[in-house]
Amino acid sequence: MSKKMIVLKSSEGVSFVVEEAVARQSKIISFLVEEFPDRELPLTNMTSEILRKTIEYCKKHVVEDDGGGDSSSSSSGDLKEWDVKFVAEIDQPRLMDLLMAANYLDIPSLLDVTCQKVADTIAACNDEKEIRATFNIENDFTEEEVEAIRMENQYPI
Amino acid sequence: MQNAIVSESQCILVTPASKTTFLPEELCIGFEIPFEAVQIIKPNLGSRLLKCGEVTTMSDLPDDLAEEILSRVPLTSLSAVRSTCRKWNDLSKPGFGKSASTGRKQFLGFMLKDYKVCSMKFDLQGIGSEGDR
Repeated sequence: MSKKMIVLKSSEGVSFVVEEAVARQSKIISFLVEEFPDRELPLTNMTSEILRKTIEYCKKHVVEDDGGGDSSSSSSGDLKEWDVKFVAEIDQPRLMDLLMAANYLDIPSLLDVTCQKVADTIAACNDEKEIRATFNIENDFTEEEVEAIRMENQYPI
Repeated sequence: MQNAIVSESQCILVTPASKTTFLPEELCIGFEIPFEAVQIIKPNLGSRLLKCGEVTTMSDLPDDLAEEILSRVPLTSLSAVRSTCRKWNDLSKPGFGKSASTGRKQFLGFMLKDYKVCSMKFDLQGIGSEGDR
């Protein structure tokens, strides 16, 4: 009855005990677990905070396959809604960290959600000035260059 | 620093398709990968795998991730995206990163040493014939 647990260690040395099925959503961890069973896996470039967030996501998305029949706790619609809320609550620096973590651990669905959130944030900006302000980007164009790009990239309405 | 690579004994190779295989030990130890082709990302040398906390803005993201994001922005925002800065203007041009993602044989490798997971990027470009010996 007991599920197999594995231990992930953050950069601060904090250990997180997670169900193997949860952690296995990361392709990297999945591989490491097979090659090095019963070992603590140190994730030296992940802070506890980001690791906790990542695990939270994986817990929600784990496919329950130990019960009979369709035991998935949430429908895909619910899950999408949960995802939207999950990334909406994260501030920008942490969202970038989470995106990097998803990339590093190879969790495609989390990478997808985080990239989409950033893209949506960009799309919600009215113009390049708002984008720069939102993402703290320095303008390295001259007025003329911006004008030229604007002319080139007119979106036909 | 480079000597540190060859002294490692256990290397795991992860392809972009995430099919995992072992990188033969002799590839690391036997100089068949030219040293200049091996770029350590961890520990603390490279840029691609930054520590969480080091990436705080989008400008800090590696190009491939920034490009992935910009490719999801609808065309209606293209003009604004391109006028944001030079980097975004480049990244949002069609086909900009194609060579990086498909042309180069790059692998992300992981090394385990003393329970520490380190990862490296192997760029195998141009070592084909030399490796046949």
